[in-house]
Amino acid sequence: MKNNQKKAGKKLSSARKLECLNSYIGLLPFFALFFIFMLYPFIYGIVMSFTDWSVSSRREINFTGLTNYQFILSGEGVSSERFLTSLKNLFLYVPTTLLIGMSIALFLALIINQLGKRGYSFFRSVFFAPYVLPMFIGVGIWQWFMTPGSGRVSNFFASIGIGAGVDWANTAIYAILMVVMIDVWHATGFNFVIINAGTKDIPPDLYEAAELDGASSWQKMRYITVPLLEPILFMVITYGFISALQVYDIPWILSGTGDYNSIGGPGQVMLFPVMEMVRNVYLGTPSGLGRAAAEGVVLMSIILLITLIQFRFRRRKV
Amino acid sequence: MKRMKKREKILWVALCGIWGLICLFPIWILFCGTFSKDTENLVNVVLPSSFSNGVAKITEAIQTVNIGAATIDTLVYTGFTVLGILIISSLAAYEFTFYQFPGKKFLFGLVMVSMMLPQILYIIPLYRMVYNMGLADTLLGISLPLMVSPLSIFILMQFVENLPRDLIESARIDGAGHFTIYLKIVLPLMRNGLLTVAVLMFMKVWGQYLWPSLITANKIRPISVVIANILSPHYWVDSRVKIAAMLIATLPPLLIYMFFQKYLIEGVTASGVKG
Amino acid sequence: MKRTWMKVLSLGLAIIMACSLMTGCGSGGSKDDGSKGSSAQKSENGYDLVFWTYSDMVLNDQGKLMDQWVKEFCEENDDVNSITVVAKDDSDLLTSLMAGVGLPDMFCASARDALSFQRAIDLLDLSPIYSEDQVWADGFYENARSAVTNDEGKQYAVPFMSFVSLIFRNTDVLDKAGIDWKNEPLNTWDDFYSQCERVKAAGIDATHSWSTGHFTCPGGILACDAPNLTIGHENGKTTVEASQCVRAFKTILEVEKFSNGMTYASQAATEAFKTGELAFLCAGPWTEPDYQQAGMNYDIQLIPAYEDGGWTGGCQGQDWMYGVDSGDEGRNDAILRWLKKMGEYDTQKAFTKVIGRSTLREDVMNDPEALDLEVAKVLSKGMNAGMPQMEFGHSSVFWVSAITDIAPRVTSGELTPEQGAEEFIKAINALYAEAGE
Repeated sequence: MKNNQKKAGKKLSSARKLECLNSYIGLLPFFALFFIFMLYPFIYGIVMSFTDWSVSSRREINFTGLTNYQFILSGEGVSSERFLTSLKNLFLYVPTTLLIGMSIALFLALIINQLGKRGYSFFRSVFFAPYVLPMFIGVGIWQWFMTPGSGRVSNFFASIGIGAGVDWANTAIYAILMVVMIDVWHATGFNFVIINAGTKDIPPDLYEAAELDGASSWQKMRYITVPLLEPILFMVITYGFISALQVYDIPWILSGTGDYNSIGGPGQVMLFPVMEMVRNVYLGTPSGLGRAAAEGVVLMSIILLITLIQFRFRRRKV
Repeated sequence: MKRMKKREKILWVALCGIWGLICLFPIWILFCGTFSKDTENLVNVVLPSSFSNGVAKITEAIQTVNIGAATIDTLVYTGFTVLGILIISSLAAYEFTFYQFPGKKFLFGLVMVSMMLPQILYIIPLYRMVYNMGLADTLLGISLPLMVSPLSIFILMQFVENLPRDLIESARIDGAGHFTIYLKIVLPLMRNGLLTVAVLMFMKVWGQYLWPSLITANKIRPISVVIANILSPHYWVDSRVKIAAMLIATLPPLLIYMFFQKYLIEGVTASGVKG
Repeated sequence: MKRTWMKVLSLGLAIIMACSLMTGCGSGGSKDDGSKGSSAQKSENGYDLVFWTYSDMVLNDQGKLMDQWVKEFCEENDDVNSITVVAKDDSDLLTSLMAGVGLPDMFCASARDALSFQRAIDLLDLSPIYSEDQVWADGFYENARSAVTNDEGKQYAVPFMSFVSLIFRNTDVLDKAGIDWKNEPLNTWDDFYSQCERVKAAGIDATHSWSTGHFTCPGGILACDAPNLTIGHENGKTTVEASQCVRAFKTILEVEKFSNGMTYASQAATEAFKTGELAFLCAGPWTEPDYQQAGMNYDIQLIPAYEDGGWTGGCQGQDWMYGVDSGDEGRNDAILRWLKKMGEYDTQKAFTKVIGRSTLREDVMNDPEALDLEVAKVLSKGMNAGMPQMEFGHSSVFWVSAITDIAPRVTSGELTPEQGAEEFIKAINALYAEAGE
């Protein structure tokens, strides 16, 4: 009797083992590629953040401990000042762009479902179009729009009393708002598509039941759609944070002049951490690559921290 | 009540219209710019003024910058990469959502962390590695690193998170194996997620610049690299030709999106019957 | 059981890491890069060389020239089978070279990054071609010659092309403003101001902003003082003094009075210029086809000097051709021959004649036969008076660029020209400190 029980237990556990093994096999393709093409080069990068790694192949690479970190956070020297400025800009940029961008994306994803089939499919394509447009061209045209004195959008803002006579791309705060504007225009389509696809997974009978109870469209959104969208919204916001913290291409194109020292505009009004990393890579200074790696690690820690807080917050709420 | 609804609907259409205008206006301006006379101020064009000039610019874009060949190359590696992402990520999402196994938390943590790695931090070691593997300028070399898409896993997981677990359990009781359940049950239910991921990843890979520019040389010509080449501020390419080239580069992803969107809508109506 | 799994997992991780280590992920530089050997193989039919160059060199007239040179070279040299020309833009080129592996045999790139290239890759020592042919070697501008020579007296690049920034004048606008432009060149800054005044009086914008966005304009103004600037660096500090730069900042402030606020090289400024809404445009020589195509009338001037016949400004940029040491003697020899061809009188003359761009051979730029095009004539004058953007080949600090941050602060009134000059010197020194020079 006792023996039998033991055997059953063992059998169960071997079935469970098989099940686990299957799971690992299913995960293998992803993790194999992940380890080889991401984690390994990445760990290599982290290790190098503790060295005076530079593009110079003849120079020996020396372990320098925390020197790079000390330097970039010290606020002394060009790279360090620039890096700290870029962090300051980032803390202004991220909440602004997320708040505006996500509200618009969610709002659009909800109201578009109220339209007829034709309107729905038309606007769905339209909203996504800016995201498909190559970044270069999108940013380029916004540059035309924001030309001081004659740009269409800058003139429009001036006429409603915002930033009259301001050269947006070269003025503190305005430069960041300009990046926010272009980013919202560009990225809303992306978030919209995910959120809207999520609304389609909500069973229609829920709405039917609510309609029978005489709920208004607003009530349906508030009490059915948004709560059921929670996982998707959470994902979109988390990812939004992660990518906003790595903002790079829009300000790079806006302030890019082929001269790495002036990346980020005059006074670094639109400098962000990834841009500063790229500058350190290109500049070819001693321990430039090590410094770029250290900046990357700092940035990643910030991203990690914010994401962890978000996960905590979600667990408590749910 | 009905009147209210109608008014409400007009309001929604108006709001969508406003955002649509914001989305389309810059593109309209680009279109007009291409189809305008050379003597006009490109920055201030509001209406197209010369059809023939636009056609000439588009022809020139196709001829001088070799956009046709680049489009095919880019389609090939983008398609291959997206296919890889779909298979790899859906499998991973399936395991993470429906199964418990030791180390799950750790592994999922890795997936999350991998989303946060700034590409610039590891791209040079990655390039050296892929080059030394002999994969530079090959389809595999460009695609394999791009197939690591934690975002896709994340999206797919959100799409199946609300699926009832008993579905899996009952299938298992019916004797279906681990991967049969994935193929026959979960994959079809992931449909909306897969279509979304396919579209988004297509855009993402299509627009990738840094990695393709590093890893390609003669054999593969990524469209983003071709475009970046003509945009260099240190030599002159007719602005209208540049715009035309970029508009051409926009077409494939836009078409793909519209194509998938049609399926997405159909898929939705089909699943609506099921409830 | 949990522990076992973790063990298996970490073991797998370790194996993967070891494998990638063996493939030599980070093993630094091209020296120990085994796979380079494949390209060093001497095939029976000769070498297949790879040449990376700027994208424009493969397009239009330049592309035809390049094809012709490649064809000639392959015919003249039996041991070279083919040369594959790969077009890359500046940043693409730089990233690829910095990554340190998978390098071409030869490449053409900015002189600004010369020191970075020297550090990052094994450049081929080109002194043999310099010492074997004095006539060839002496034809280059003196400053380019010394720039490509490193501290050990060895040459590692062949000077190829160059430019100074130019002022394009919309002569239709000048006509409207009643300016007799044929007899009123922009010799001095006073000429420039007086013409700006008259254009303004005619109700047209005179010029774009000379302070924002880029070093070209403020740097060009600074370059007018080049003979007074003690350019160089000692003990990690610039030898330029603040007092030498004050006049430049005063001029920047003065020019800004005539600005319509548009940034240098922005599409808006270019379009305004082409459509007669702007009289003066500061730009690189390569933008000329744009104005030709727009069907407008224009002429080309150098950046003005302070007094008649004085030093004309403009920062001079240079582009050189480099070779990569392949480790194979025969192959290196073929590379040397190609680079020598690129530096030859006939090659560079054809380039200037057809494209109108200045090259770095003084004998070509002083040969009236090569200067068919108006732009080439102006550039030829400018080449004698431009200020190199930086100490090419001997410093990695792009010191002029520090002005990009300071100039807008002076024009906005935040700094006086004197303070601006002080800040500028501080900013330059910070760059030297960062570079460890």
